[in-house]
Amino acid sequence: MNDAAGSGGPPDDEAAGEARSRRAMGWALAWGFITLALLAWFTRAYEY
Amino acid sequence: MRTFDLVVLVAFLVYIVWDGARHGRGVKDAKDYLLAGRRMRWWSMGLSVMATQASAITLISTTGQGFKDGMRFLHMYLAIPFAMVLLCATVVPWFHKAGVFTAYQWLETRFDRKTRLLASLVFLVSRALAVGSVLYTPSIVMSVGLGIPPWQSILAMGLLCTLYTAIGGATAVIVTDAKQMLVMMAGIVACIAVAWWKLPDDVGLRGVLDLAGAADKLQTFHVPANWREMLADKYNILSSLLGGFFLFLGYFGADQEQVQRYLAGSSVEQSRKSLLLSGFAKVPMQFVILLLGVLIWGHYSYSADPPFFRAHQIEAEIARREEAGDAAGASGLRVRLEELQGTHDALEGERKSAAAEFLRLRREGAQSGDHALDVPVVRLRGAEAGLAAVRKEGMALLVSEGLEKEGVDNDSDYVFTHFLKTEVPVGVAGLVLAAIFAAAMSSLVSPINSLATSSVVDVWWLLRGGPSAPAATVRATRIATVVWGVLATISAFWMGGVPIIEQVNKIGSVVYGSLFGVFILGRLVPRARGAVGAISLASGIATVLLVRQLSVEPELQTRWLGIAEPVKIEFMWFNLVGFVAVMAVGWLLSRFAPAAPPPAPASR
Repeated sequence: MNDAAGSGGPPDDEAAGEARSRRAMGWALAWGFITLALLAWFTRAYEY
Repeated sequence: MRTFDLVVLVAFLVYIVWDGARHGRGVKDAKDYLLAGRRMRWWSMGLSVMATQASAITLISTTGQGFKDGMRFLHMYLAIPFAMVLLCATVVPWFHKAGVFTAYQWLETRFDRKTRLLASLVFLVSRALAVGSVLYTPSIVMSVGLGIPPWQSILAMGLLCTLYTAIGGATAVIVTDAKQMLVMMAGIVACIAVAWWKLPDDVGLRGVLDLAGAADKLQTFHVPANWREMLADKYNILSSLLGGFFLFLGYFGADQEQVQRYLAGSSVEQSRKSLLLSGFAKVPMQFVILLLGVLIWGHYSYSADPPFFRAHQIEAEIARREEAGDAAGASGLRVRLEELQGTHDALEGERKSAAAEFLRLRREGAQSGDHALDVPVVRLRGAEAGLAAVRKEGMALLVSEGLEKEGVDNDSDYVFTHFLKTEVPVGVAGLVLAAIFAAAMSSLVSPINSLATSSVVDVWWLLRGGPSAPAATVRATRIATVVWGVLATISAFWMGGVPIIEQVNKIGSVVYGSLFGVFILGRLVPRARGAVGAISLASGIATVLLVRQLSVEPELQTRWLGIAEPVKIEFMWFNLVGFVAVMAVGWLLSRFAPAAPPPAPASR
């Protein structure tokens, strides 16, 4: 927890928002790789 | 069109226009009108971002691509999750911190006024060229579904969209986009359900997927065999993850059409999450839409379909000639159509026979790679190639009879409308038509809104030497919205030709890599200042145009560069070429630039 406005730091909700959005970015990155793996599997499963 | 479907469609259109226009009441200043007061939540902006990208093209043309070429088109979107993460880490916080109305304002804070003006002009010209295509597409549905000429549909759509965008501004765009996206999703789900339900019981979804795989229609992860194929093949995993990555960085990060959606966020977190929604949902959504095209292909593999999907236009021409007393002309055309139908029926018989053999062997336990499957697979693919050739002949017939322009090959754009008209039950068809119009409207109002915003903020403000008063800005943007709406409507009358979705992406690919490159140059190369931005941007676009010309006219590669075996380069790579060219030129010029103080803040 930061010491909030007055000391020059960002307010709590801004820091929490930054942390939340960074977590979401991490999940999106993982989702990108999962998608690639699933599509590679799908193509292989129906390849004749 | 059936009355109940028409009622559903008209009720939806009236609601959207009313819903959009009512937001005009809350507009107090430029921030309200241009950025929805920066009050928007992530899910609302996220749906708007998706709706802006997903046009009627997405439903009509992509389904046609699924029918014709299978799922390879999905490669186009595979880089989106990665591009969204990079944008969330870069331009989203940059733009928020700078408090800009347009992305190009940020360029003035980093480079100079010329760079801002050039980038905005690049956006204005490229987006203006594409916006006509977006409006043209639903006219295909209207002309087939309602039996009215395309120009009437273009006029109605253009006027309705311009009306509520001019009144309600960015809030109207985002709020209606979000609702339109939900209607679009409902329409897609309804179509998938109908297509699934229409499959023969003894084949089912599993059987159709097997057949589609045998017909080479389920390639969603294609690895090119060599570097030549990598460059020349539009959709492979490398062109997607390299070229497509820069295409989407440019589209979502430097195209005001999208930037203006997420600049309406109340915080960096809200804007980031709105982009990440596309990162999570876009690939699955496109997968489902392409799968719909494959299911329609499966359906028509077992039921009667025309030799080509624009055959109704030949039938209309025959009727017209008969009415005009031209019996010989009508009879000649009928004979040619019947010839095509005969060839088509024979090939379809062959496809059914090969499919039955293939499915029998699969039921008996034959697996992928078994040689027993080779014969039916070759027969199936041969019949498919023959049917594709018949559809090409059909298009050639339309051209030779003066019913289409030379070189046009867009029969696949009519697959979805034929399915909708002949197979989808009453009520559901109304919902799907509403979904198509939702898609068309959402991808039309965003460019009109952003073209108007950039015209006023980046061009008019610069010409008058500074920002205008809030009321004057709102008034000027409303006028610009009407002007752009009218121009988009007029340009749509001249559209058509190459499959629509590719046309839009090709226009974008000439500029997106370069546009995004100049933002990254501004951040990564501190010495690149002033006119270096504009020169680098111009050099990037010039390089892309040169590479494009070398690919279109391969003999130039031999004549100018001495390359014995010319290389074909597909449009996805242009995005990477533009980005690299901007960075290289910018870095090189910055080596010679004197160290100078940073420029003054943007004139806003």
